[in-house]
Amino acid sequence: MTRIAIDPITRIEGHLRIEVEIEGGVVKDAWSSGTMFRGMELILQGRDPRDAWIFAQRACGVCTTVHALASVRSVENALNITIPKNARLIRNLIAGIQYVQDHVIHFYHLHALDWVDVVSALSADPRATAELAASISDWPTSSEAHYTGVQQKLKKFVDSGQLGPFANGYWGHPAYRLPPEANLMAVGHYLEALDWQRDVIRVHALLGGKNPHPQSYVVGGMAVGLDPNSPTALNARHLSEIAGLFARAKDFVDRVYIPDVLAVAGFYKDWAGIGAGIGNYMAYGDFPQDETGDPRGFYLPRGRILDRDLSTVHSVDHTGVAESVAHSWYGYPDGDGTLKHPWDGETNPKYAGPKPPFETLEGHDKYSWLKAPRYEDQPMEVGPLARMLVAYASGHQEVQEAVNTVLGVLGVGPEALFSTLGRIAARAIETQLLAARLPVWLSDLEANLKTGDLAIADVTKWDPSTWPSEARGWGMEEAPRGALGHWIVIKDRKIENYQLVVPSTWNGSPRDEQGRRGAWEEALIGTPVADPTQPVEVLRTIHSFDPCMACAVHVFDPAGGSSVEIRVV
Amino acid sequence: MIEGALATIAVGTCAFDGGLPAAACGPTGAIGAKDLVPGATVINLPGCPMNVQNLTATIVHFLTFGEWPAVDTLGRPLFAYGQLIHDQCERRAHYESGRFVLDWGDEGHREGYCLYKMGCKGPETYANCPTARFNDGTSWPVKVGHGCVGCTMPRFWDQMSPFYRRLPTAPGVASDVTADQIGLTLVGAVAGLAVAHSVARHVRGKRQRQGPTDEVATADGAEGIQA
Repeated sequence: MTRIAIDPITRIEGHLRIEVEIEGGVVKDAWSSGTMFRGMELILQGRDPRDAWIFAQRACGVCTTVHALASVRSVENALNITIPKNARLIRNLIAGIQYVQDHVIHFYHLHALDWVDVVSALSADPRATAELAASISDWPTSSEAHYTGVQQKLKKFVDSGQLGPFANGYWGHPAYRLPPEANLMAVGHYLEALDWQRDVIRVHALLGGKNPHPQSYVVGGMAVGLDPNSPTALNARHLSEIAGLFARAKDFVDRVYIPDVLAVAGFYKDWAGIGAGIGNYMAYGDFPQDETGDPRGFYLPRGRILDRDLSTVHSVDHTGVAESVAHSWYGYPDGDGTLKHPWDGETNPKYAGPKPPFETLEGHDKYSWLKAPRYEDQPMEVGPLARMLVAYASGHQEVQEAVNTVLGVLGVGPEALFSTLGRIAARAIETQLLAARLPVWLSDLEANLKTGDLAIADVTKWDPSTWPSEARGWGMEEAPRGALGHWIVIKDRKIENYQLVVPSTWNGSPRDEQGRRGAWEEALIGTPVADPTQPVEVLRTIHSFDPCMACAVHVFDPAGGSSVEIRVV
Repeated sequence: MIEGALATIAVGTCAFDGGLPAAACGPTGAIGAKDLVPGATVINLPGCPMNVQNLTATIVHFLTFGEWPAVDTLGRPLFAYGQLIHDQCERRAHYESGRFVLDWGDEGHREGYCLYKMGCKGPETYANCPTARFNDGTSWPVKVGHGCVGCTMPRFWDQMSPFYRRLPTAPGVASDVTADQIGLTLVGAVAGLAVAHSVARHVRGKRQRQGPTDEVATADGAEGIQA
């Protein structure tokens, strides 16, 4: 039995440690540990609920904006505020382009290097690479000259001994299967995606002043001056600029990202049988298409799939969510094994791990800063795969068509979705659907403006003197990484309690009071590991969830330090 | 590592002064880079987020002139943090003329009126957001329609919040300012005399322009938005 630790395991936003036990070349057991704590929930107590989103948004700068949206929704839910149509559509545009940018960044910049051997790209033939690229897409950079340039740039990196973003890969590992030309093509698109993401996210600047952390939300709607004919408001020029950015976003997704995912997946079909995990999937649903707040009107539906059974979609209500701290570095006065709904949630840090730097968490009953969220006492996986499965099983026509097309191209059945590869495919499908949806929502906004409706916020409850002395709310959002919930308790116009239950807490959850593993831990069981000193296979499954630890743990490991055996940069 | 470095560029508000984890009631004891290693040469680029143009310019300044840019007493480069947002703001003419946004989405909001009465912290915040703008010069929050939250200023999570409360008429004078806030304001003032001077100047300007009906208080102690 070999036990290895990988810390940090992510290419961005560290603070996640995975320990696995390997026997006979496969993972036998796994532990997921969040290693950072910031205390955001404690900082929010006592503050003005209208300010909460500005604080909460800072939970993460990668999937920026999602916590702002969940936060304003929690206050609007508590105060029973319905936002105007224009505000609803602008929020969809901000959240939608966030998905598209975030998913593409994940594939190329955070995940591709688990599948793409950068050093192998040096031995590729640029002309053959151009031919390969042209055979899967009519994207205009598919020329010999372009790939010669990419290869020279890469060679400069390698020769300088400073690989920069490509440092610390397991280059040459036998688990890498792409031919050199496919590796070079992927590296070329990696570099193009860097420029593309910087361009398309300017939508956030146009609608929110900046990215990261767009700053135009308010409780009740949006703080966006809106008038197509005003020189000082969001006007016709801005709307046209946004339309152009959406077109460029969709173009890259359709002609680069999707063909690349399909091409790379074709070499790794065995990963459709690895990394399945717990088999329970949950989505809160998002992208409201009317003003009722009824989840049945969401573009991405709400629901749960249990035990991989796609014949039934189970309901979701926020009252079913509760958190255990049995194996987390927190204490509940009435027992750490208690399941607490977030309105009654407590954040009492109680570090009980080894003194850093340490080599292992083995033998420590409590091993993470993450709590263990459960839905009706069951562990859940959240994220693009959960959303696509819930939509597929709910009869969402566009999702069914897209999923069936991808399964057909890869020549695999629906059971292949429950896997590491399935997560990657679901993320790509979702990106394509949303990139196609954004122009529709923009048209809806323009059509509504044409009717003369310029309303952007419901300000009738802006003044706190209009509020009840006590109110409680739930704000949900489907962040790119999965179901996100903010729970708020307001008392005497101040925040009495505030709890975040975020996607990476669901997926990265430690064991619960019954000893059941979280989604990442379970997904690793059975993963083959050819060389325990170079566990690229473990990275593939964990990264397929798009882990982001910044928001999963809300305080800094008070002891600081780092026990780094294996670093992933 | 910081001690041996030619200089350390502290990127963002958390590296500047601990940022959000250092806000009141934060349990972690977070501090900024300069407080962690007092002897180090630290260039502070606060902001949440910092504007990446200012980082590039700081490095290019060193490469071009062979020295780090001139900084204020808080270690912030003057080229980026040497002027108040209020003095560079495209809505400034409306402030001078007494035209203010009074409700989100009202006519003044669409016409680009001043956001001071909606809590904008531009009159007390030093940064080049109005001119540099974010994301390749595309925009900045006040242009879109939301007030500045003062994210380049010391301890802004506590000192600038509640974010929708109009700035007090004078530091330490308004009845709803606590002793703690006065104390911290004074610490800030000692740290940067230019800040104190300029705040006073602008506060005086505001007081002269405000009529008595400006000061209607709502139940939570926030100043009213009726003009």
